[in-house]
Amino acid sequence: MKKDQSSIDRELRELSPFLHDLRSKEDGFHLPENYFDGLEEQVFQQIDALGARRKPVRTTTARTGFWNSLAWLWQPRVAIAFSILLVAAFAVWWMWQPKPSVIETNIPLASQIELTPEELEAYVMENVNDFEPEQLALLAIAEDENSEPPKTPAPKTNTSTRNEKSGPDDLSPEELELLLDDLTDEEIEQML
Amino acid sequence: MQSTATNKTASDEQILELLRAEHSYERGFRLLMTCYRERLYWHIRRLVLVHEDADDVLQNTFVKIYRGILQFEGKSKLYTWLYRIATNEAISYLQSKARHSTETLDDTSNLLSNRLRADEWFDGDALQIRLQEAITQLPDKQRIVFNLRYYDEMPYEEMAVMLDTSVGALKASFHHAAKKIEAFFRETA
Repeated sequence: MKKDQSSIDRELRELSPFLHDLRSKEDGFHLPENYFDGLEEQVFQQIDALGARRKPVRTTTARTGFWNSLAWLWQPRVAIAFSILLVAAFAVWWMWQPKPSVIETNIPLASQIELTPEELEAYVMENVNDFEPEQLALLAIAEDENSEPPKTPAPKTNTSTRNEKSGPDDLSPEELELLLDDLTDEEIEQML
Repeated sequence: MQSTATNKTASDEQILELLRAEHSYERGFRLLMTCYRERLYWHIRRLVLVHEDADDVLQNTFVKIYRGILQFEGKSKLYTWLYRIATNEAISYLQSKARHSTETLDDTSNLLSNRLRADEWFDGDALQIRLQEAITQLPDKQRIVFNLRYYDEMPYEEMAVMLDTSVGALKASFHHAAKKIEAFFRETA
C-alpha cells in the first residue's frame, strides 16, 4: 500500500492537533513473539478441515509419467476392479462357448445296440407295463414282418373275422387304432 | 506505532501469476500470506482490539482469500481487495459477538474496552485506552474510515475503491470521526 504519511500528518495537524500528537506515541498493542511463524499452518489446517485444499498438480516427464501410471494400477481399488472385470469376462466367454446337444458318455445309444429278436421280446415281456398299447401293437407288427412268411399261405376260412387272426397288413392305421382301443392290456399281452 | 509496514518480497503481479497456475497455486498463496499477514493483522486488530479475536478473524480472512482469490478480477489493487475481505470479516465477527450478547450498543463498546484492558497483549497507557474507547463508540463505517486513515495511512482514493464510496464522503466521514473522538476526550476528562 502506498503510504500517505505526509498527507495524513498535514490533515491531522489542521483537523486535530491533539490526535496528531497522540498518533506519534506508542499505542500499546503487541502480539506474541513468532506469532506469524505458525499462522500459515493454522490457516492450512482450517482449509483442510473444510475440504477446500487444492491438490497440487505435479509436472511429470514422459518417462516418470509412464511409471506413475503403472503405479496407479497397483492401487487396491484398481486391482479389485480389474480382477472383477477379468472374472466377469471369463464367465461371459465360458457362457458363450458352443456346447454339444447330447452329453457324450461311454454308454452306447439304444439304436447302436444290436439285439436279437428274442432279447427284444424278453425285454418287452419283462417291462410290458412300461409300454403304451400302440407301441406294443407296432412291435407285434414288426415281429410279424420279421418272421419268415409261410411258403404256402394258409387257406382263409369263412369263419375267420377281422377281429381274430387277420393280418395287420389288412388293416388301415385308423382301423388298427380302433381295434387297439377295444382291447384291454391283458388281451394285448395274450396276443403277444 | 506498532509495525504496520511489511517488507514486500514479491509484487502483486508475481503473486497473482503463481495463483493463476494450478501447480503453483499453493506457493502463490503462501507468498501472499507472507506479504500481507502483518498489515492485515494490524488492520483487523485495531477493529476487534483483542489479539485472540484478531487471530481468529485473520485466519478466517485467509481461508476466504484462499477460496475466493480466483474471483479477483484485477479491477482494483490486490491489497484493496484483501483489506475489503479483512474488514468485512472483522465487522461480521463483532456483529456476531454483539448478537450473542444481551448488551446494548453502549454496553458493547464498554465490553470491548474491558476486554482490551484484560488483553495480555495490550499495555497502552490511559490515553491510549481512552482513544480506543472513543473509537469503539463510532459507527462501523466511521470506525473503518478512521482506522484506515489514522493507522494505515491509506489514501482516500484507494479507500474509495475499497469501500465503494466517494472521496468527498470519506473525507467528511474522517473529519466527523476525529471531531467525535476529540469530544469524547473533552467529555471524559
